[in-house]
Amino acid sequence: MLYANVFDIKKFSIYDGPGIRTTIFFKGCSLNCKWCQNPEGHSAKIELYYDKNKCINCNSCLTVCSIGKINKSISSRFSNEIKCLNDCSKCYDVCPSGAIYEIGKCYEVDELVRITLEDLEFYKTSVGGVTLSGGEPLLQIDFIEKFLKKLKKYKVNTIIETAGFVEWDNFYKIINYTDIFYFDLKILNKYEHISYTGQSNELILNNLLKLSREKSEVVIRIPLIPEITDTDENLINIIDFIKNNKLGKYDIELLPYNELAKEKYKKVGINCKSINKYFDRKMKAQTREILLERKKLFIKKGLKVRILSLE
Amino acid sequence: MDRRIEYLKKILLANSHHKYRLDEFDGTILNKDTENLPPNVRKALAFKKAVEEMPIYIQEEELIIGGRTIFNLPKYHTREEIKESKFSNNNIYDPIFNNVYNESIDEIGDHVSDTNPPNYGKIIKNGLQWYWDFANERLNEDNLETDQANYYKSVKIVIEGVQSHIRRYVELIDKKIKEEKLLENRERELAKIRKDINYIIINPPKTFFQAVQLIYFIHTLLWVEGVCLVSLARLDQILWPLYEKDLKKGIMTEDMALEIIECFIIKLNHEVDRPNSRFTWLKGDTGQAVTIGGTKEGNMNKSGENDLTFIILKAIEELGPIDPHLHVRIMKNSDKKVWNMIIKLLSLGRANILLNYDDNIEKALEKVKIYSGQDIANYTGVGCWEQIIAGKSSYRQCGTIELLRPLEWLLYKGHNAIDKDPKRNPIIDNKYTGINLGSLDKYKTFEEFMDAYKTELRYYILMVVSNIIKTRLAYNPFISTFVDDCLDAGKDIKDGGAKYKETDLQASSLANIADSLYAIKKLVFEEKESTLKDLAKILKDNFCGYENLRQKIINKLPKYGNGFKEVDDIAKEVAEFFAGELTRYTNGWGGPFRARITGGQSYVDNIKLIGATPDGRKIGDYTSFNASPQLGCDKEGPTGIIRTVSNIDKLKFAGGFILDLKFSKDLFSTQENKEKFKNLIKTYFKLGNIQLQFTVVNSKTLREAQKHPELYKDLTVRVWGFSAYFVELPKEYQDHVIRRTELGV
Ligand code: SF4
Ligand code: SF4
Repeated sequence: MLYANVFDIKKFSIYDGPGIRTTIFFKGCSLNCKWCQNPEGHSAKIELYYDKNKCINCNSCLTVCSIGKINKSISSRFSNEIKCLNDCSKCYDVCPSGAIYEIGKCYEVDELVRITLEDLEFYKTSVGGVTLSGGEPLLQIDFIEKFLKKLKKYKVNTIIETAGFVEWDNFYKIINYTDIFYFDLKILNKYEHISYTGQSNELILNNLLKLSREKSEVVIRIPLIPEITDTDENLINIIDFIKNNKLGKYDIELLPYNELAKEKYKKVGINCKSINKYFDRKMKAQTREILLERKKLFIKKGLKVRILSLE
Repeated sequence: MDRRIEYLKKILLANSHHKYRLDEFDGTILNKDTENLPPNVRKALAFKKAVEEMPIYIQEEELIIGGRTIFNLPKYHTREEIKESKFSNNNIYDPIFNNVYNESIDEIGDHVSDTNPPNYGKIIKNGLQWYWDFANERLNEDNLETDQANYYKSVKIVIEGVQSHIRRYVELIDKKIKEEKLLENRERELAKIRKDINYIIINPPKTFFQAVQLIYFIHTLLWVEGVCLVSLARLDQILWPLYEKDLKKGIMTEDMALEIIECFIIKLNHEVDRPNSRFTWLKGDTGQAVTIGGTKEGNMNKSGENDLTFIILKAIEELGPIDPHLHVRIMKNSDKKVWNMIIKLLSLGRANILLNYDDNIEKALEKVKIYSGQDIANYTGVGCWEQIIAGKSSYRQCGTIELLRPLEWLLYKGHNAIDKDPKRNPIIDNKYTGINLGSLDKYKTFEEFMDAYKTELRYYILMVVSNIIKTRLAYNPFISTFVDDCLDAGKDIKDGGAKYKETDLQASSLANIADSLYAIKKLVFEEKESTLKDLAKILKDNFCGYENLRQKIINKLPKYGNGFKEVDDIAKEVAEFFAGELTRYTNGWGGPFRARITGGQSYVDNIKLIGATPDGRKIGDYTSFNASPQLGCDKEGPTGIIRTVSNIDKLKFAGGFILDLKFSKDLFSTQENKEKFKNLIKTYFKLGNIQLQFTVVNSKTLREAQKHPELYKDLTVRVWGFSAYFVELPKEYQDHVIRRTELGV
């Protein structure tokens, strides 16, 4: 049986493509972006998290854990890392308040199809559909291939949000069942790309170019991370790349930086320093004026661009 | 917004009209001559005396004039009636069985009609004098029964009352012009108003302005009669012919019409606080419903939106008032402009909008089996959520079935968990209990338990219904004048004169009962984590010592509002059982009962009388309101809520089925999102639903407003079936709004 590990299913998702959609967040990512706004999507494993605000201090978890992994201190039940690697999940099962919770759940294809079709009427009225996001959805390619095929039987519009760092074959397998690709372009400078995401961008850029030859519907998405991707130099590089490779036919979306991610990190209790330090800089969401200025850069070059959640 | 409207809005918010009000209106109509008159004639005389003597006023800049300044009628009940009512009054409120609370009562406790609007179309067509003449003619007939004669006498008296009331305004204007130093413009304006109101004392209005002014006079005097929650029916249809005529003649522009409507709406807001009520009403719970849109009169297949529809919407946009309650009738083929305007108003945070979906509501009304097709097409929204036929219905809304109560009876052998009413002494008497169905050990399956719940619920409905039937009604000569069949038959609505006589009963806490029954199913019958007996004990102790269990129920069990089939099916079973049981009965007039899923103030107020519940709710905590999920339990977003609610057959709820959705204001930041929002609503209705209402606000704003009320004076939010100024709500109602899940973020 084929399973996928999914860390969230968001119904009435409205920022992930046309119409009313369901966005499925697949767990596991091939990049390691230091500004990642979905830290839960990072690891491909199911993880245990702890939310101290919910804990009612009933000590049930302490009683069931056979290896004494759980701290008595209410402020951090799990000692150093995010999770216990023992995977027995007993503490999760027994925790009544939901303070210990699992991120990630396994679904069979049919089950996920059933869940996404619950909102079929909404997709129909609004010309919406299903968006596959992550993490990197294309990592779980066998599952996704089957899943998309089934959705297509119901004429559901499908979108894949990808960071592009997978083998071309993974694109190729699902290209016919995917209506739109939302393709992330982050940093053009190869070395910076390596230092901020852990990988080189060659494969990514190549995939985008191949995709542009095969597929008409692509949206290029640029996450605006202050001082990292959102610099004049990087944006101009991106624009040049788009122009030089005749990608100007595609829509471009700028994603403003979302301060909420900071909160999210606190909540999921990630204290892995390497990820966290970027948020210590007190990065601020861009103002409307700045966003409009960024937009102008693209417009000047005759590109179709819009700012997500603003227009 | 023009300067006049701005000024009038400002003095409205400063309650400038309060200074004309009398706390207590002294006086009596009783004397040797009148004492022996029949009660309806006496009441008509009291009404006449009231409107002839109550303070009247015209404020600066007002175009529409009038207003209620008293809150009780002169005495007209005889000593015997008062004495007798003390012995035999069935109208005493109790929160369980005789909770017929949403009505006003008169001096001796009899229930005064509420909600029913007059047939304004007919009034505009005929004018006031026509009613007097009609009654007079009937009085000359030979074979008239005494009761009929008394009715027609009362009609003549109340019409005379209204006429002399308007005449007083004519005189007031004369006096103003003579004695006050008015600006030239204002003097001209008042002279014109004088001419117009002088005209409608006798004649049918011949201009748009005259019609609006006449409607306002009658509306406000209905409040004087004691009728409360009075609605205004389909104003865009009723006023359309005169509007069109004035425009064609060139004596009015669209802007002038807008100004008149805005003046009218501001005047409606003079009624939003009702100091004469017998309970603590919340400001804004006035039932002043204005219906717009819907099928075109005379052509059932066409939607009837017209320019006036948009003028009314525009006025709501500009004023941001809490009244009127705007009942918008929409349908599949509604004008796109209407949708866009509604979305615009919602995005501005206007909370006084209720959407009624005609295609489904009309089917639900058909199923009541009393209405003619023509009348259904012409239905009007009234009160908070109900639909009736204006000028033909004598509708009553009667109390609440608290769906959690039968569960309590079942768990505690027919007893209530809380036997004191903390707010309204006296203590709930022990006689007010459910059926003792004996020990809990005997239920071997959830189905058996559910059957027992239904037995208690059936009994509850029966008791409430029989109390409703027993309640005594007062005569309402004024409103009865304007209800078609009453006038034809010479019968007050109290005596069943109206063509349609529907009574509604609402059931509250649907989400909580579904969650509670599901928790029992799961914990007791499936996982066997607890026995019924133990659970009953735990609940009685308010979960004391069982916080683990409570947390598990709250966090780990699926809840109503997430499209989870098993819970949703329980909700469906309970709701439809309630509707089925209730509609088996007929009311005291032989009219139908109609079922409604709404809550009124139960969710904050009456719920204090319910103990801890198996859904994890502790004593004193709020319940869900209307058909919405319990606070914080909707985790799947709006489509999940809609799936849950759509599982229930709305055609069984001709009385109404209200879902509230609270959206973040940010959702409306882009045009694309607005479009998505619209499609969400459209799908909601496509799935068989009938009504929907909204609060659009950021919870952060609400918290700010709690801290700095002075900065948020005109922030409005949806309470149960009306909109209110947030900062004027009692804290617990404020908190409830804040705690509702903010969707679309
Ligand atoms: S998963 Fe098992 S071993 Fe790990 S902390 Fe929880 S109970 Fe202990
Ligand atoms: S079981 Fe959950 S609620 Fe109880 S102490 Fe552990 S984390 Fe806290």
